[in-house]
Amino acid sequence: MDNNKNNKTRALFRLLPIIAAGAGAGFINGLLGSGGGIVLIFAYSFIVKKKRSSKDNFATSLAVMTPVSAVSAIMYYLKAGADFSGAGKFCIAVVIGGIIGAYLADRIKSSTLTAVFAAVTCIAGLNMLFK
Amino acid sequence: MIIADIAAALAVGILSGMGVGGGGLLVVYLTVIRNMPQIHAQGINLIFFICASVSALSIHLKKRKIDVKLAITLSAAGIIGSFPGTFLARILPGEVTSKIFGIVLLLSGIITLYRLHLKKKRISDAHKKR
Repeated sequence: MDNNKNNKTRALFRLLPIIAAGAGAGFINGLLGSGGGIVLIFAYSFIVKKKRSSKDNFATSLAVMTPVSAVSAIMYYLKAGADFSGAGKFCIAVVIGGIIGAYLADRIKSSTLTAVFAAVTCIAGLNMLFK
Repeated sequence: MIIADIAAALAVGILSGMGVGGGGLLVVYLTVIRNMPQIHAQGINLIFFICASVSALSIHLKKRKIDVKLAITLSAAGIIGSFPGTFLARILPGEVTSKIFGIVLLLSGIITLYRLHLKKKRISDAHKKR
């Protein structure tokens, strides 16, 4: 009887970090319209015991954040009056861009580009903070 | 204007296809250059993200191993967590959300640069040991 209780408590303790990570990612994604994937990838080292490849983690975070973003998008449309009228051209462009990007990924060294991108992100962040 | 939009979306799509990242910059483009209100820009970014991830998952990530049980748990938790998030996005003024967005961008940029620096250091230390 006691053993059963202990097992259930242990299972709950293992579940809590996962729920916290998912809820945190969903919260940030809902608040900012982006960023949930980053939270998840950061949280993986704390919630997953077996070390998995970063590409698997990346794929999982995409898979998780897609329905979460869909729900948020619906809420934005219904409750926040968000205007999606321009979205179509963005969707087509991003799919084409993604195909090009995946093609380039094997051919261009990513660390320089990542550094440039991170620097641009910092500048953009400062811009939004102080505008 | 439309050409600029498509060029921006293409650029962000390429960057996220390469795994370098991108959604945050689309919001920056829409709010800073196109003067779109923060909430609309974020909404379009959500749609953008869904398109990008569906295409990425179906084209070049379909061979990846995804822990389905974990993914479903995380998704469920994520959906529940999203409600307070979207609620705040709705009631907070755009200027406030935009500043929070700026802080998160700044932090993520700094963390990325720091991690790159650590990686470089690890590689150069390994070379020295030889």
